[in-house]
Amino acid sequence: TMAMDSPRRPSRCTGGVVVRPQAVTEQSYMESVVTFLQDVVPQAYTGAAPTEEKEKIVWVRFEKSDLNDISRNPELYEMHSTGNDPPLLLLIGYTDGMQAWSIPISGEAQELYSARHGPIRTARILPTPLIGPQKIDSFAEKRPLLGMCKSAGSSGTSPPYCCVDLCSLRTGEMVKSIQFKTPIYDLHCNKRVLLVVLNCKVYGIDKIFFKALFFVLCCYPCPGPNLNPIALGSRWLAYAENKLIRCHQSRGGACGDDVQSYTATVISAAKTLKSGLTMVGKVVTQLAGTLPSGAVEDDISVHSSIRRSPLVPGIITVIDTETVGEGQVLLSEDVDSDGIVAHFPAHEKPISCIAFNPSGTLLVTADTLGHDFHIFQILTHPWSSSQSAVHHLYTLHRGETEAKVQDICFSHDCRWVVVSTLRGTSHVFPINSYGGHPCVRTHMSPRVVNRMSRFQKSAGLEEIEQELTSKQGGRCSPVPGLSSSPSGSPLHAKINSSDSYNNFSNNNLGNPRLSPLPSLTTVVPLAQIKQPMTLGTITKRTGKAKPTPQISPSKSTGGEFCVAAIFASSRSWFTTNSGLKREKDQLKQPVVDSLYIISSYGNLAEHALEPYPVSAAQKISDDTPLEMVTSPRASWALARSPQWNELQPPFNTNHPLLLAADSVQYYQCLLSGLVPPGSPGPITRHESYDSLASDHSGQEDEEWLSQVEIVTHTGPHRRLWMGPQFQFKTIHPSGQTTVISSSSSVLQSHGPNDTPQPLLDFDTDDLDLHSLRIQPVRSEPVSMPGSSRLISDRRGGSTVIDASSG
Amino acid sequence: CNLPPKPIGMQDLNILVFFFSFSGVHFNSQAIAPTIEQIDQSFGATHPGVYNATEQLFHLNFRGLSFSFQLDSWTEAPKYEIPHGATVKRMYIYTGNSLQDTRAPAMPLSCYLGNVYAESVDVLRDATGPSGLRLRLLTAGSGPGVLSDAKMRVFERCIYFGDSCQDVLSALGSPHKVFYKAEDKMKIHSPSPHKQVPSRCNDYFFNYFTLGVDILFDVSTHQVKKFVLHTNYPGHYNFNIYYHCDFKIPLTVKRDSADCQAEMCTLTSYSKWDSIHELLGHPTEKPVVLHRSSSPNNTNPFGSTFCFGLQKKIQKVMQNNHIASVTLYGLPKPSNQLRAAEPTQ
Repeated sequence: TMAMDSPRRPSRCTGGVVVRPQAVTEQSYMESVVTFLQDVVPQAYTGAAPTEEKEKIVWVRFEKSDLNDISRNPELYEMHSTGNDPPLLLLIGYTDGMQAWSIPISGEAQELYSARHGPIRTARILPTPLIGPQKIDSFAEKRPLLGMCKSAGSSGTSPPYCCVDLCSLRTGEMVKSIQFKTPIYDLHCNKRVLLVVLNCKVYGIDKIFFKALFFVLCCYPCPGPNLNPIALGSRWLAYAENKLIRCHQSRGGACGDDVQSYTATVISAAKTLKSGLTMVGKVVTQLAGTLPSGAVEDDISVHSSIRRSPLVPGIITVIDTETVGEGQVLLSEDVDSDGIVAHFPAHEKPISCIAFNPSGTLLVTADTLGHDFHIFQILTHPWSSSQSAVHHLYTLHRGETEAKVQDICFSHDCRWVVVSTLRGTSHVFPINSYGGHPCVRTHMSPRVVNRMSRFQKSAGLEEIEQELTSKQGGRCSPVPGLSSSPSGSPLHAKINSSDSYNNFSNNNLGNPRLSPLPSLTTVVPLAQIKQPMTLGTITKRTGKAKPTPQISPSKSTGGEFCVAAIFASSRSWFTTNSGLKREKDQLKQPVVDSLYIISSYGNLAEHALEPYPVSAAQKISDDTPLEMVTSPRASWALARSPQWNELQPPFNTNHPLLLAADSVQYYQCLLSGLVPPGSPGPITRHESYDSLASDHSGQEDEEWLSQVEIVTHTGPHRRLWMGPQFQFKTIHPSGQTTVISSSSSVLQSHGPNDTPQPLLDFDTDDLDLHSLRIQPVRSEPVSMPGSSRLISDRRGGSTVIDASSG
Repeated sequence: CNLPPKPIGMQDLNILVFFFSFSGVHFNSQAIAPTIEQIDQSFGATHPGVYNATEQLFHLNFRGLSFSFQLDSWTEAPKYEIPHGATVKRMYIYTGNSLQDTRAPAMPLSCYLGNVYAESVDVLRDATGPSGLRLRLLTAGSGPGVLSDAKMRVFERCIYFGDSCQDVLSALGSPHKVFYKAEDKMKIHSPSPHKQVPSRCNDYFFNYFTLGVDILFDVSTHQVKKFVLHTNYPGHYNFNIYYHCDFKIPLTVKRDSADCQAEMCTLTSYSKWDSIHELLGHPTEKPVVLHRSSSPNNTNPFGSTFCFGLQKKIQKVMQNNHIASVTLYGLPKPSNQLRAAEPTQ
C-alpha cells in the first residue's frame, strides 16, 4: 500500500531522494518501448511526467563496497543468514557529475550522493582496506573515500581525466590526488588494492598509503567499450597480455574451433601492430595542495624487447596482487617471476571484457567479436604458473553478429552468468562451476548440487569417465602432428599422456590440474533481456556500414546503451499490495535471484528469472535441458532531473555509507587485535579468551555441537575396505577377541621422536583392550538400527548421528 | 605425506608360508624352510649376528634386510654363529643401514606428478583460539615450464580463517575436489534458533586429499570458516581417502584457578585421546556419536566415531583412541564477537 502512492515523487529523507519501486508487467514494459520509439527525448518509461526532463547518463555501475560487504559488516551478515540481502549500491555517471543510490531489501531506493561537478569518467567508493598492526590506516577518520576521475583534476593544470581524486565522504575534503600523464580509463578496487587503468597499463596502488605498488605495462588494447579490460578478484588481477611467454604458460587454455592455429594468431597479431601502440608514458604521482608529496614513478624500465616482438591478442595473465612484489610486472623467458597465477591464450581476437566469479575460481572472457564467451576454471599451483592449469569449461555462444561486451555479472552461487552488450541486451547463460551441461538437476534446485549425482557416483561413472579420457589422451591434448585438428588447439599447452595416465590410477589423489579434464560444453543463452530502446535502434543500425570504433568512453551514443546488471534477491514484493500474494511469494523461494538491470535512461528494472524443463521433453529427468521465462517485476526511475538538488559531503554520521564504513572499520580493528577508536579498551580480547579457556560457559559448550562436520567430500563408489583385496575379520590369537583393523599397529606410525618400535605385530600383547569401546566389530553386514542402539546404550544418552554412507 | 611407513615385518614364516626369492633363488617356500643355511646360500656373507637378550632373538643383518631367529633350545647365547638348523622367525625389509636407524624413504620425485604434499601442518593460534594453519609443503614439477627441472621445492604457506578462495588457491594451489555441503544436519544443535532458517545456498569444501586437509568456505562471503585435518588411520570409514596430515595443535592446559598462567601442550596427529584427556582433565561434555551407517550393499565395519569439542576444535576419535580428524572452527560469527565487544548503547 505504501508503495503504490506516488511511486516516484522525490521525497527528501536524510537528505537524498527516495524512489519507490513501481510494478511492471510485460505489457507495460512493451508499451514503454512504443513510447520510446515515438519520443525524441528519451525519458523514464514508468509514470514519468512528460514535462520532466532527465539528465543524460554516461555510465552506470553496480558497486561493491562497505555498504554491501557481508563478510565485514556484522549486521549484514546477521541479516543475510536470515535470508536478506545487503543493499545494492549503484553509481550513475552523468554528463555533469554523478549520483550514488542504495537499493535496500525494502525496495526503497535512496539517493546517497549527488554532485554536478563536471564530467566524471569513472568513480569508485573505496572499500575500507585490510589493516594490521603494521598497516595502520592513516585515512581512517576520513573514510569512506570516493575515488573519481574528473575531466578537470583538483590540481587544475592537468590534462582531462588524468587524475584520481580521492574525496572523503565524511568530511567532504579532498584527501589525495594521484596524477598520471595519460588519461585514465577506469578504476578498480578491492579490500587490498586500488587499480588505475590507463592505455595498455595498469597501476596497482596501495589502499592505505596510496603509494604505487606494481604496474603492468604490456596490456593488449581493446577498441572499447572497455579500452583496457581487466578483472580484479579478492586477490588476483586478470588482464589481457600482449604476448605469450611459453615458459610461464599454464596448461590448458582455450580449446575448440574458434582458436585458430598458432600461425594464424601471429599473422593477426602482426596486423594489429601497425595501429601504432604507444607504450611509453610517464606517470607522476603527485599530491594536491598541502598534502605530503608522493612517489614519482618512471616507467623507463620497460624492456626493449617488448616493442620489437609482435603483439599477440587474446592472451590472459592472472597475477596475484599480494605476492607480485613492487615495480614492474614483467613476464619474460628468463625470469622466474613471482606472483603469476596463470598465463594462457583465451581467444583468438583481442580480449574485450574479463570477469571473475564471486569466489574467484572462474574467469569469463569475451573477445572483440563477441560471438562466443569463454569460461575458464583456474587451477593454481602454489609454486609456478607453468604448473597451473586452466580448464576451458564453457563456450557461451551469443550469436553470429558482432557485439561489444560491456558488462559481465555472475549470480552469487555461480550458476548464472549475464553478459551485457553495448546494444543493451543482457544474455543469461546457465553454467556450473565444475563444468558439464546445465540441466534440471543442477539448475532447478535452490541449492548448488555436487558434480556427481548419487546415481552417477554409486555407478562409478566418474572413474569410467576418467578412464575414457585417459585412453583418448584427453580431449585437448594434441597429439604431435595433429595440430590442425579442430578439437585440439596448438596453443593449448600439452598434457603429457603418460602423466595423465599415471594420474588416474589412484582414484581421488590425482593431480587436480591434470585430471579429469572436463569436457568443453557449449551453452546458448536461455534468455535475452533487451532494453526497451533497443528495438528502435536495431532497425536504425542496419543501414550503417560499419560502426565507428569508439575511442571516448561516452557510451550512450547512437544505438549504444550503457547497462549494468547484478543478481540480488527480490525487492519487488513491496509493490504488490495484496498481503496474501506477498506471503505466498515469500514462501515460494525462487530458484534464481532476480536480475537487476540499470539502463542508460536511469531505469533500474528487476527481472524475475524462472528456469523450467524444456517443454518439448517427453519425460522430465535429471538431465533434461532448461528453458527460461523472464518477466519484469518492478522498476525504479532513478535518473536525476535538473531540478534535483545536489547531495554532497560532509554527511551526517547516520548516512548509510558512513555507518557502513564505521561498522567495517570497527570489525577490522577487532580482527587485527587493535583497539577500535571509542571502545572501552582491549578488554574484549581477554573476555573472549577467558570464555574460551573455561569450559563452563554454557554457550561455548553447546556451540561446538553445531560445528561438527559429518561428510566433507564425495566418497568413491567403492572404498578400500569394501574389498575384495581387503577383508576385515576377527582373529582369536589367544582366546581374546580383537580386531586387526581398528587396533593393531599395522601401518600406524608413531611420532618421529619415538624410539624405534618393536615393529609391527599381529600379537595382541601391546593392545590395550580396555580402550576398545565396542567389541567385537564384525565384518558381517550389520543391521543399522540394532548397532546404533547398542552404541547409544553403551554411551548413555550421547547424541547419535546417522550419516548414510552414500 | 602418507603415514610414514614402518619397516615391513614378517613373522612366523613357518606358519604363514610365503614364497620368497632373491636373485632367482627361493629361500622360503612350501618345500624350502627358511633356515640359516638357506639364508647363507641366498644372501651370502654378512656381519655376525647380534643377539638381543630381551627378545631372545638373534638378528642377522643385511643392508635393508634383517632376519630374526628364535633360539628357544639354547639356554646360553651363542657368540657369533647362529646354530645350524635355526629357522627364521621374522624378516624385516627397510631402507637404511640397520634396523635401528631406519627412516621412511623420501618419495621419489617421479611420484609427485605435480601434486603438493604437506610435510607438517602447524595450527596457528591467537588469544581467541585457532587462527589458521601453517603448512610446510613439498612439491616437484612435472612437464614443461619453469618447474621442469626435477627438483623438490619445500616452502611454507599460511592460511587463516576469513581468507578468500583466491587467498587459499594462491597459497595451496587448487583443491582436488570441491564438495557442496548438503543440508546441515548439525544445525539442529545451533544455539541461536534463528539460524535454523534454511539457507538459500550451501557452503562448500575444498578437498585437499594429498594434504589431508579440508577447507570449508562460507557461501555468502566466500571466506574460510573451518579447517578439517585428517589423520588417515586404518579403522576409519574414510581410510585411504586422505593423506595423513601431520598436524600440531597447541592446547591450553587449565591449571588451578589460583595460578592464572595457562600452560601449553601440543596435540599431534599421533596423540591418543585418553592421554590428552588426562592432560586437560575430562571434557565436561558427552561426545557426539557419529555413526557412518551401512547401506544394504555397503557395510561399515569400523563402528562409530566419537566427537569431542575442545577449545574451538572438534576431535573425531576412533574406538582405538586415535584421533581420526580435527575440525577447527575458529572464526567467530562477526556478530557474536561484536556483541560481546560493543559498548552498550
